[in-house]
Amino acid sequence: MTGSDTAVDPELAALFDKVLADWRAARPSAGATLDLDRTLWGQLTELGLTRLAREADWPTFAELLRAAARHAAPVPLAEHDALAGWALGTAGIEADDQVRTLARLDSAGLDPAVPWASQADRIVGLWPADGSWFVADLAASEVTIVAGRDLAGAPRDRVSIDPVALRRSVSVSAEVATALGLRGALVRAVQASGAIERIVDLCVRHVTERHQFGRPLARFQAVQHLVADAAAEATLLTAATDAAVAVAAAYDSSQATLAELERAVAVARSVLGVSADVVVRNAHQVHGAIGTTLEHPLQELTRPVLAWRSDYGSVRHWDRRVAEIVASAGTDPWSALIGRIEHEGETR
Amino acid sequence: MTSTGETPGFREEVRAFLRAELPADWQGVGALPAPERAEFVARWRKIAGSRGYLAVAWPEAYGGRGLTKVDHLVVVEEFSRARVPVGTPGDTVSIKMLGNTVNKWGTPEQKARILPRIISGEDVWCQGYSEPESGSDLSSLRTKAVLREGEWHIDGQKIWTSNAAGANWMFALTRTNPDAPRTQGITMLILPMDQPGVEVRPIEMLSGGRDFCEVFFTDARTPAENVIGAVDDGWTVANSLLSHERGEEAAVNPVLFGLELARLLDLVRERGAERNPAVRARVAAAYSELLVMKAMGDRILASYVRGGTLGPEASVAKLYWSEYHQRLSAIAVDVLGSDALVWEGDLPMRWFRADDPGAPNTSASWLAVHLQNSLAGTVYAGTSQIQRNIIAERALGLPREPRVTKEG
Repeated sequence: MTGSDTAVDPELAALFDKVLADWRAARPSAGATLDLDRTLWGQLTELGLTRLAREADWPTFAELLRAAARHAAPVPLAEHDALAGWALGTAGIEADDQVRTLARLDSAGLDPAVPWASQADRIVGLWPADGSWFVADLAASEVTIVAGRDLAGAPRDRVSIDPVALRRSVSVSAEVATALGLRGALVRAVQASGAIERIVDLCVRHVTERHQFGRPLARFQAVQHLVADAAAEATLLTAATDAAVAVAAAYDSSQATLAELERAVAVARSVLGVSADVVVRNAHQVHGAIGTTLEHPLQELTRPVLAWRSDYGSVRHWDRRVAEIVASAGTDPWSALIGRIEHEGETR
Repeated sequence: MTSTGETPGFREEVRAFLRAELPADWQGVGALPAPERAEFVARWRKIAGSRGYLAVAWPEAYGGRGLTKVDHLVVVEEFSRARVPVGTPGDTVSIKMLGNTVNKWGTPEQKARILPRIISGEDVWCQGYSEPESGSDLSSLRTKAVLREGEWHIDGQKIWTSNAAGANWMFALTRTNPDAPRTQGITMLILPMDQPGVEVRPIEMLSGGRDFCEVFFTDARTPAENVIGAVDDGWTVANSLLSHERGEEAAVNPVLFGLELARLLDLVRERGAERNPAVRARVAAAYSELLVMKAMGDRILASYVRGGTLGPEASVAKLYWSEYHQRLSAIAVDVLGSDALVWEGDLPMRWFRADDPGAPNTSASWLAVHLQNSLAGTVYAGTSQIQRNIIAERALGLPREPRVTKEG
């Protein structure tokens, strides 16, 4: 694992933020539901940002995901690029620029909760059959979609695919299937970390600007503690997520194993489980009633965080995985979670 | 069960009433299909109201039974056990807050005019307290009322007014003496909502709901006699209203939360989480906390019945139940796991406390309780931070929080 190459080109990071901030400044006000913004998507495609996960390094892609989450941009960057696009790549299937999402089907061809399916052009199906795994690239018109919404109001749809249509699929390894699930879990942690950093910013701004009892809320210790706890959790989440992003990069270049990837993702997701609780609760607490209105930007961030933290494995699932990984490591849980620390001139 | 202070024979009477009025196989209002719930609740309110059960502590002449607060708790306990609600969600404001306050402070003429029309359902009330710049710091409110030629003229704005669009009357805190110290120039006025000077704008919430409203007063009017308590003494009236709210809820909440905990246990079993050690520990902690809440509630009710007002211990109860409820609903959402990603099933009919008994353990039921109800509990009716300040300053006698200067 290499932890030192997580620095992202600051100019590139600034570009991501500017594109999304400009979009946000011009967009109509947020509603209770989120729909795919095709204009923004077209712009991101022109800039090559809808292929970034496949063409740039993981930390750069993570920066883009965080920027999109900060600005609450309704675009399936993670699903289209890091999941569906990557799955097609492993299967050797050529992908064009049509909007895609990934359905992780059961053997009957059903996935009850696919993000963005009802608004995507094509559905990439990952399908288990006869003890193997298959990837298929299907037009949305070829599959049955029952539209739904998640906690954030984003499309979250029931997808069922006739196994006959899946005959045109390409076999992939079981490791690819597992890695896809881990990539899904990781991108959600990255997105949540971006949203959570912004939530803390909003909290700081609100408690500085809002006055009660003749002074800013920030002058009350109880309020300071709420914001400080949220900021601490945000920092912890960013650190755990960055570590997992670094392992994902190492895994993609065959410098880390699937088990190492799962360990890093499990830790990041377990941290997300706790930090989402603290940050969302404290943020709404310091914003009071104001933060519960539809027009306030807070809900555009807190609702997705709550949805993302349950996606690709619930909090309970990832807490349990961390516990299992530690327990299976025998007597040295430290290295199970943290990895071996090797000092200069010293071998353990 | 409360054993002291009950009127002898009253609990038996309530039980007999419930046996007579409910079908033998009654599963609870939550078990009804969503479209039928509201209809049932409205019908049930009429039946209960006609027997004086909605406000047993009010005199019979005004639609009550002339009994005590403890007897009211008997009604809540027995109705809850029978899985039927006491009144509608709107009665929280109309009966618990305004009605009880009028019963204490109102003139005989006001009582006779106001209370029976609440029980009959003719009048629905909303509470005009918070303002854009006065949330936690309520005594800084600025909505102005001036008495001229037999009428109060009201100008200003209220916000977060629940059900302002459905109410036909408001009780409002207004500034009537701008020269007096902040808490001494406030008057509680009652005013009709249906008049040119009152404009109601619903606020759309992140849930998509539109229950909260902004209310704008532009020379709104109400007759001079529509003052509750004395002019410029509204802060005292408001505090006693808060005591009604706190005193009653402290005793009633453990009953409602007890039914909710039973639903959570069902959920834990349905989802196969009953052997999960972390879930077991959290459920056991919740059960213990509920028993503490019950003990605290009974104590508060007893002191309220004796003295009529409450001290800072009511803040302890509010802090306790609201934070308990967040922990409780988080267990449900964790147990639901990935199913908590999608809203499935009917939404609860009411936004305060728990979903109705008998409601199926769906994700929508618990998500609504968790995200729209328990999360709000530490914000509304005085935030947890305000409660802690009250406990520190009034219960413990600690110094007021120091004012920090810029240099500090």
